[in-house]
Amino acid sequence: MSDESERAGAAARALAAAAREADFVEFVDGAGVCWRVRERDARADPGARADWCLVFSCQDALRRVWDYTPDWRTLARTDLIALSWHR
Amino acid sequence: MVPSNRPVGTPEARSVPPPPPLLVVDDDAGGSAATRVALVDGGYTVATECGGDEVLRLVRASLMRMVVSELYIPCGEGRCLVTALKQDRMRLPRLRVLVHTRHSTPHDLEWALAAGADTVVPKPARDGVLLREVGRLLGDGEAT
Repeated sequence: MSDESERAGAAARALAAAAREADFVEFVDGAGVCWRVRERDARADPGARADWCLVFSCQDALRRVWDYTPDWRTLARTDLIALSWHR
Repeated sequence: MVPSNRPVGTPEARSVPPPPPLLVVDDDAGGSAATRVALVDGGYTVATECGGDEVLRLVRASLMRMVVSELYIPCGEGRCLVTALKQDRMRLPRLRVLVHTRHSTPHDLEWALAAGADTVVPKPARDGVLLREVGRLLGDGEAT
């Protein structure tokens, strides 16, 4: 593969990763706290247990979750609440 | 032997494991004290430290399960203490790191995740929030 096609491939992968990170879901938990959930490219993060993780964020906390399924965006609110307690 | 007013053999006296020891790391004495009080009031056994290299030594030598640390604590083994703790998966595979920080801009929070933090709780935080997040990381919290 040429340098040019390698660079093009890397750029395409970076764009795809950025799009994946930009997508998010929001929900309100049982305590009335609004949470935003997004995926994070964790390949460069120390101690990463996978290439990607979920980040649950609200006004007073950020939680990182490693254990999740690809269909997380379609989960019901109660399932997202439960997922936010995974580690 | 120190006398106990709790009868041996009662349910209270049976072996309920003590809460796991937590290490609070903060370069600000006031912040460290406030975090410690909140965690002790929540029933946890807490030690405090302020030097990154000393923290690494302590954590590697003990069965500590969790470090509650400020964000930008310098350390000789990485760009900060959090990074040094999280990248040492060989010796500290189960260690959880909660960043409890007064640095709470979006850049700071992103920096904490990039350093490997499992959870970030900006200061000031209600005691209940800190205890909720510590409990989650230690596996003794509940979904709300």
